[in-house]
Amino acid sequence: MSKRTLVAVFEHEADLMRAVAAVRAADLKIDDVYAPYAVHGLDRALGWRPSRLGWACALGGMSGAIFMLWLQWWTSAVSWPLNVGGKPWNSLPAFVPVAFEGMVLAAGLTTVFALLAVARLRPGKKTRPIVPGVADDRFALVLEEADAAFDAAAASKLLRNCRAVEVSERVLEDEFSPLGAPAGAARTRLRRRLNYLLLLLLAVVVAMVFLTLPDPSRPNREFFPDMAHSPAYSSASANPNFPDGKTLQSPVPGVLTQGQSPLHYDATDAEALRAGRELRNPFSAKDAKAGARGALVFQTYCTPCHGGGGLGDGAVALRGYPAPPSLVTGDTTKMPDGQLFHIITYGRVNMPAQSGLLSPEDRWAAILHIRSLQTPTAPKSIEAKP
Amino acid sequence: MNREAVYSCASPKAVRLLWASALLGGLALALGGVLQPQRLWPNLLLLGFLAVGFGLGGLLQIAFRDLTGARWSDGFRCVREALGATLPWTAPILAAILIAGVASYPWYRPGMLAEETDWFKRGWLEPEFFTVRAISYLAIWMIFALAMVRASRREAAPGGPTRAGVRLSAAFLVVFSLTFWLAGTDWIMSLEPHWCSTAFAVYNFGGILSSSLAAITLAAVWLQRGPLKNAVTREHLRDLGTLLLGFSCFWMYIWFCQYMLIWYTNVPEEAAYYASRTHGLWAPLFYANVAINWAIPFAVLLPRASKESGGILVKVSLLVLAGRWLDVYLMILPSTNGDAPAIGFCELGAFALGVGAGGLLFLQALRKSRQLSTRELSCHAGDAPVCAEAPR
Repeated sequence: MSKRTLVAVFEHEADLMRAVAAVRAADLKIDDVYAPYAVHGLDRALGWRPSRLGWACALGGMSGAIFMLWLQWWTSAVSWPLNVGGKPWNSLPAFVPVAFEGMVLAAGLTTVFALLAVARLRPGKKTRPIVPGVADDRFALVLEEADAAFDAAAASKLLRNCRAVEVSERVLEDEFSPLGAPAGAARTRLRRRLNYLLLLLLAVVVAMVFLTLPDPSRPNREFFPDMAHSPAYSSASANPNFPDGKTLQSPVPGVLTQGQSPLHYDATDAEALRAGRELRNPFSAKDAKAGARGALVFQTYCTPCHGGGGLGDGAVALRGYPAPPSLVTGDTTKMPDGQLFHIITYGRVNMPAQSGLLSPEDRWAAILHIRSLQTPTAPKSIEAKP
Repeated sequence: MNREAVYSCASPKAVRLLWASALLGGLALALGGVLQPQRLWPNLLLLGFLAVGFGLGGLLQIAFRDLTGARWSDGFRCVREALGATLPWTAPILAAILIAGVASYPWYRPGMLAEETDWFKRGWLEPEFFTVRAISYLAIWMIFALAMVRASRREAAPGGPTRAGVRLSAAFLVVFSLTFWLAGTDWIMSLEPHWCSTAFAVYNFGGILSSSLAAITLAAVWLQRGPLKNAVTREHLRDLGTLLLGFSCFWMYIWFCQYMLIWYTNVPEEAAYYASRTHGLWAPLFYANVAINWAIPFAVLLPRASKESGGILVKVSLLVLAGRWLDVYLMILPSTNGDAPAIGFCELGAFALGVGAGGLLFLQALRKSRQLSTRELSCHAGDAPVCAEAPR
């Protein structure tokens, strides 16, 4: 749809205002007015009804504020009540800042989008200023030549009397894009094809969702494993790189781990006697700290069979397991420390080896405690201690 | 039209009413001083702080205009000049009130700030130091008021601010922001020495901005019906209404900033300030303060039509002015006369005295305005909106 118009250009705001008044007095129809800024009083001079953009702003603002208040109330008082500083879950003062920001955001966006909708503007729309300079320092008044009775010459004269610097007749093609020509048909076709292509792409993406639907009985396909699987061999897996085919290799014979003290004795009674001859307790009987440690070790690991006083009356022995010999009488009192150390380390008869449980220091400390049990004045049991 | 125009515009009846209000208010205040002596000084402090606030508001408007070059309001610049010109009169009165009332501050009593952590407050609130500071702030403001109003009145009618005027205004804004911050802390916040709020100065700044805008709007509407008929247009009223709406919101924003932080942290010495004001009979006044200073002006001024209507602007301005009184009342009186609000001879007398004497002072200052000379008025008698702009 096209319409015939008369476009007048002015240099001053006051001239435009005067022209608007004169045109309205002459009962001519004003199509639109273009100005580089908001001219005070122009809307009133034009006699147009007040803009309803304010209502869009108010409604948007109120919706934003109400939605944000509701969202905060629902999240913090209903869906997931969370105690923040002992305040009530439904705390209005805490909700105000977010509601305020939500109101400002919604009001601003609503106003902008309402303005775009009213002005029928959208991204990519091609517009051209109706005359050069209306965005800079010129004012334009567009009269609509509504019918045959419109006298273009008389109207031009009227406008020139109001100091219009230029008056011209123009045919505006599209009612909704008075600022420029409509887009070409070729461009429309291109856009349509682009849209079909985008639709197809969307369909492919949606179809991929079905490809990846989970089957609970099988592991899913992994498109992006995100380094979930390590390329290194796990310690128990087979390994072709070693002659024995194992990943976990045993240490080279004769290697000591850090802190290990070697014990060059075999697990025989003869070797125990040899150990008795050769080894000395590194702790002295006066070492109170080692003594206390020894008492603790003895209570923890020895008491169940040997009993708190070393009499062989431990809880295990009382329930039928062959009782160990007493530590405080007979043979044990005559054994040197080294032999006891060998027995604790490798075990003897029914006694299992303790080397896996007790460090050499703890074994020596326990021997210290056994010696103290053997002296009549020593406390018979650490149970008397707190 | 001559300089007498404004004074004659204020009808003899109105002037008589102002005199009557001032005299009756003074009498009531004297009577209140006899009957309820403990409420006399707080009301005098309220009155002095309010009055000086209006003078500072006028100076701020002059400074804003000089620095931004926004000449839209030059058509009624006599109003802000007159507001600023009241400061040299009100500042000495406030100084006298403060010096006379040092002993009324709670920190004057020995032992009030005895705690170890109060060492700075103890030193800062030494009575002699307090007095010297109060006199310094007020003297500095007085000097600025005299110089700025003089510079503003001397401007050539259609021209912009002079270079000296711009420098003066810039210096004033810097000096003002520092001194006003300290002055509010000294005079009002120290009424509760254990309470402190870093937003207090900004809060008072919002208060004097919105109330001085209300006073300017009121005077502009009044002058529009008198000698400045052509200088004050509908567009001017709309701009004033928009500014009033905006600064009312600013006041509310700062009010809420202070309130919410104290509500949220709930530290006993901070929360005590609001606890005493939101309980008992103070509570209705506390919530009325928000309604009067923000909710009602906001709702009323939102539509464009009400911003352009002189009648509505007058009502809103009166409301905001009353709101400013209530605001300062709620800052001072709960601290000094804790239990419950009371409206008696002191309050009514101080209010009436403020309205009457303030009005007369303002009229007197307005009379001296150079702007109301015939030449400038004839300029504005032409095409009003165009004339308010710079000449092309």
